[in-house]
Amino acid sequence: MTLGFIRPKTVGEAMEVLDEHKDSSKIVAGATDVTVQLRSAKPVEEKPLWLVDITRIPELSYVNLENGIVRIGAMTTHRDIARSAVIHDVAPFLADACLSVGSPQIRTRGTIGGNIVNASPAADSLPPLTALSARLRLVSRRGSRDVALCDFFKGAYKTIIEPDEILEEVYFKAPQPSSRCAFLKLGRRESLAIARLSVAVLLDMDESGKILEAAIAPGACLPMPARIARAEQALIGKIPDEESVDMTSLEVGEEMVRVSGVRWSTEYKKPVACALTKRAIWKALGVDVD
Amino acid sequence: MKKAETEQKRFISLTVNGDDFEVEISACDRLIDVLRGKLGLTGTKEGCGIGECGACTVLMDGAPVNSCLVPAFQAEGSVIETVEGLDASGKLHPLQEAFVEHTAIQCGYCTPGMLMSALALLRENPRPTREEITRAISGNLCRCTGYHQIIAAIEDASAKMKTTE
Repeated sequence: MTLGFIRPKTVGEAMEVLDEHKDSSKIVAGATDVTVQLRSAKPVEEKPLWLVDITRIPELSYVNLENGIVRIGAMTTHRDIARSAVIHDVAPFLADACLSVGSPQIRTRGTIGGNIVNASPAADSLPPLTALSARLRLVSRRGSRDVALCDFFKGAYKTIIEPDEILEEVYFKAPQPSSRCAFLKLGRRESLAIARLSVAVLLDMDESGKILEAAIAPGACLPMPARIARAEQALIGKIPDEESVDMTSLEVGEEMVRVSGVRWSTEYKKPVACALTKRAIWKALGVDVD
Repeated sequence: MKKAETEQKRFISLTVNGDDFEVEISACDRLIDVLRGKLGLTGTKEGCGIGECGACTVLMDGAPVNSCLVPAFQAEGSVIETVEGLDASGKLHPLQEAFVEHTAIQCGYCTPGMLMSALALLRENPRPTREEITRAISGNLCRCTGYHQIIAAIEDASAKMKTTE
């Protein structure tokens, strides 16, 4: 087989390359997953493989807020998102999630686009992006399309992206200034840990503290990112107290078992999913429970 | 990976420790292969090869990266700093001196990566707290020296570098 690399300088050039090598190309961004995959012992396919490196496309790296919409270029690194004043201001839980990725070295290279397209159920940026109801823009020579993040995934490590498409940006409506959010992750250690469980919580409330809107998205316990409607409903319309927060958290654990089934790890994961959700809700509300 | 029968080769230019180089690379070479194999800069160590241990940490355009995860073609035109650049003047860098003074080296395998992570930190934040030091080296595993001596060495280097500025 032939292995080669191509380094387009614009999105237009990249789309042309992908159009030409549709069935024999792989996009490389931060390369923190691809490098390991390429060197793994698995035999490679007997066809040419072109690595299409998009790190030389400056137009894909940005974070901006315009007309209430936050737009993040797919090539923006976790390091840049974790340091972005815009993200800290409007969606600090996304900054926290990006700061929990791998290590400083991984965050220097790893990109949000790669985190999304790689589609690991344990990807750190996905719970907050799911809670934010983020949308994606995919482009190819055939045109562009806009899909909701939650419709992008077909399963663990599987997405609807076509071989000639590039993820150009992820965008979401900036939450209300009155909203509160939190992201919590549980790994085997603090750094260089893949999430065993994580959860993102985004709440909006009125002046009395009554929850108007709630978005709760766990990570690493469902095959693909999703919000837990039953849990959200258990909180909406209430002023959070111990009972309603406990009920909400229980719904997350129940949903995990409904969707992912009972596994060897369920005995551990279910109570931990509940506890992590509970902590995240209280953290979002500014109540220190630890 | 299974060796590709034909691999596209290309020359790339990059700056390493202040010197310009042009090297021939193939598609599956990594930055660490260029540094160790082509340039003979064996101070940078390969540990796990999958970005988990940080032994191969170098600075790429000023920021710490795992050189085992960077495809060589992505290093084209970049400025790389490795541990060999620290004592280029013939004198140990204050960080290296502090590592020696605090016995922050036992087997030494993690040391080049630790030094480069510490260097990136001190450039950006010359007077870090212990917490900030811990976070800065959180991508570098050490299995024998112990982190306490390493953290103490970085703290000490920070104080000395500050007073000599």
